[in-house]
Amino acid sequence: MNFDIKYGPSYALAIARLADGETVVAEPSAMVSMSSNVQVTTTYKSSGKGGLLGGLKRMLGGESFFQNHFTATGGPANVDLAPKMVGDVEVTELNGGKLYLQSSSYLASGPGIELNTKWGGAKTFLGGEGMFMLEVTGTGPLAFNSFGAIKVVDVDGSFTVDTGHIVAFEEGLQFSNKKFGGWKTFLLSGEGLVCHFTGKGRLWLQTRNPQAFGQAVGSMLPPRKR
Amino acid sequence: MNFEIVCKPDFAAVRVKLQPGETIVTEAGAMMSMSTNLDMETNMRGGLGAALKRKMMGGESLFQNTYTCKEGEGRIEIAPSTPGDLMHLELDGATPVILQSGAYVASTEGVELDSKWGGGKTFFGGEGLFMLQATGTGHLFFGSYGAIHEVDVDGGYVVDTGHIVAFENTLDFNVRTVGGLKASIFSGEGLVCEFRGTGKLWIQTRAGQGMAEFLHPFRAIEQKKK
Repeated sequence: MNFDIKYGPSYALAIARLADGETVVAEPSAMVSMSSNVQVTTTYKSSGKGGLLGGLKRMLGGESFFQNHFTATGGPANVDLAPKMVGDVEVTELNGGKLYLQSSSYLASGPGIELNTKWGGAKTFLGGEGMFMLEVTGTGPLAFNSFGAIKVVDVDGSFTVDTGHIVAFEEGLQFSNKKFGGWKTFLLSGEGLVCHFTGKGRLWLQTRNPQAFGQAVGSMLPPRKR
Repeated sequence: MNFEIVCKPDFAAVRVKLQPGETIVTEAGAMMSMSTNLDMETNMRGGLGAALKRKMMGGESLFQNTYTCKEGEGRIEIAPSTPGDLMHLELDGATPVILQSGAYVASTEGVELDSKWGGGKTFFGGEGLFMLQATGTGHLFFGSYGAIHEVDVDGGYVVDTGHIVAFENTLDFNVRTVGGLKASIFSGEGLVCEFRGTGKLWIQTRAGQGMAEFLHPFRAIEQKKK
């Protein structure tokens, strides 16, 4: 199975190309279209493990409780996947390493990829703008999406990112959350919490902040019922 | 008449040049700019009955605007309402095209739009998706939210109903749920349309529903009247 990304960076579509019998796992409602020889099963498991508990834990991560498994039957097949938001999709291959992913950025993965929210570092993020991170392990391709374009930064030393712009980062990076500057800056700069990374590893950023967009547009919409 | 599609694929628009006596028909509100030597006429094409039917059944505007060049060379720029791509087709009179009604942007005079199309009944049940049939000969322009992904169907292809833009009516289809009972409740995929036969199919890589779902929680909560 491999992912072919088209129409990036604004409206990226991830085309999963499956050989007969191969499976791609995806976030619910990510399926745009697919070959008619694809069988769909919905589970609350991550690649056969985790069970109900694993599903509940993923839900804590802000991500959906369920995952869809798309399997090609009787020949090769395509599954076309897209995120809800406008933006790009990036594919990275995991070979037993570890990656931390902002949970709403998860799009799809090969069956050998595990998603976990039990990760201790998540606590640190829970304080920060309600951002939840998933720990991604295993072997195989992982497709994740951004709001806006994706910018790759290879950190060697230290780097500071607004929490709303983090998409993913490699395990070689340590981080700490802190307020931006002194109290006056923190309260008035509009920058809120930032994440300070140290170490060596790759960092993926998104050029727009979904919370900021939601607040900008949400205030123009008619109020909803309680 | 000649035309050029500009600003593809993110924010596409079409620039049309008209010679004296030539006309172009657009969806109400689609005109972005034009030269001053064009006459504009607003009418309910096909008379009140046909226009009302289009409005009620097709979800499309009651009115269409016809722009006619009086003298010299005229130009008009036409844009769809959603961010995304714009597609041009030349209808040869042999193969009608079925359009998701909101996708219609513009056409030349020989193209007829009809909501009386029999296949519409099947769609009306499904997610309030309304379709129009474009027949005749001439140029047809339609827009998408996101990029337009063209699929040459030979056999079968399955599309989430929210992502259908247009298809050639050589394709048969039926609307169904994805997978089994569990998958249809929990997969988040809603209804899909399964196409069969040989023909072209155009899919949009984003759906308005996804953006609406993202923005909903950002709406203010209605205050109770005291």
